[in-house]
Amino acid sequence: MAFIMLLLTILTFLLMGKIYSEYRTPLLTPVLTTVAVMVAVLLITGVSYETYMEGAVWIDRMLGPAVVALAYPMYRQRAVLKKHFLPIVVSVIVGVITAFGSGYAMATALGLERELLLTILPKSLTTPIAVPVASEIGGIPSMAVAFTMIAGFTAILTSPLFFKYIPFGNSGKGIALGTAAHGLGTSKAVEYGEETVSMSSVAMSLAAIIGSFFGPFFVWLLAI
Amino acid sequence: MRLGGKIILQVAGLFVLYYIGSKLQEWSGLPVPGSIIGLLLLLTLLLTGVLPAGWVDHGAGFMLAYLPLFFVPVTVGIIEYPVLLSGTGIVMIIMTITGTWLTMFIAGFTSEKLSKKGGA
Repeated sequence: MAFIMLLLTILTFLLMGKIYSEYRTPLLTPVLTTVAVMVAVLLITGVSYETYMEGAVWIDRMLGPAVVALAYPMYRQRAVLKKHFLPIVVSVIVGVITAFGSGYAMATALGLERELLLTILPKSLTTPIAVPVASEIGGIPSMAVAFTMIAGFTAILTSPLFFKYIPFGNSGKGIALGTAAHGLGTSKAVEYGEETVSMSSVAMSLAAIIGSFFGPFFVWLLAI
Repeated sequence: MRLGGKIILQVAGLFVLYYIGSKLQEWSGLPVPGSIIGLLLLLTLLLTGVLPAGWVDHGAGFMLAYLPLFFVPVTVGIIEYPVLLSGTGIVMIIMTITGTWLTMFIAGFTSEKLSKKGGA
């Protein structure tokens, strides 16, 4: 059964990738559709998540090395970062502090329990980084992915209206999207042009690195 | 099949860096995930020129092409947290949306102010 689940996950993902390349709408993002199908399969067949993971763990083990691979695109972005070093670094640092700080403030004000608070903290970081950061600080990684996606879709669905009332320039838009909404935000940046995309990609990478240090530090500092 | 061999070798290299990162975390007790320590190691090797980019490009490209697949298993785990569909879940969703807007505003605003000052 475990092996069937492993195979089914890979096949579903490949199929969903095909469907996505056909329609290109963010709501058909392969992760989203694949997870929906697999959750439905587990609910219908009554197979437990534990049994599912016995097979799927082989896919899960690829995540760590894939995070290491993110260094390569970051290395290739070095020219953009060098050119606008100070504005990018300062804005991303301020943005990451805002993301963690606002999450903490709202969760505390509304009395969210600790584990759930720690789960939503890394929501602005790119998903492969949000997963290990959530587990490092004591949140629930699987739920953290859901909130990371929600942050991304917030940017995708609302940024046209957002930028209508808050008319940032092309690079400001990129910094806003990449810092607050990682890869999904960056996919939206394409609509605002090349400069917005490169700023968004750099902001996303930098936010990932800064967030993975700042997150645990923030939790320790506030003794959450 | 030379490309296939290259990919396999380079992916193996990424596994080694991940392993070193995880071990470094264990030894140092640093609260930063081992995968990110591995990432910084690779980035340092590339930036200093110790490792030519041509030694990782194909492996990294392969891993990043399938990256979304790799976090499917952990995400399917939401099946064990029905809290997401409760009132608390909805509150958390609203917090996420508000926090995202606030972060977009503050990060974008800071960048606008700084690039104007710098004359860029």
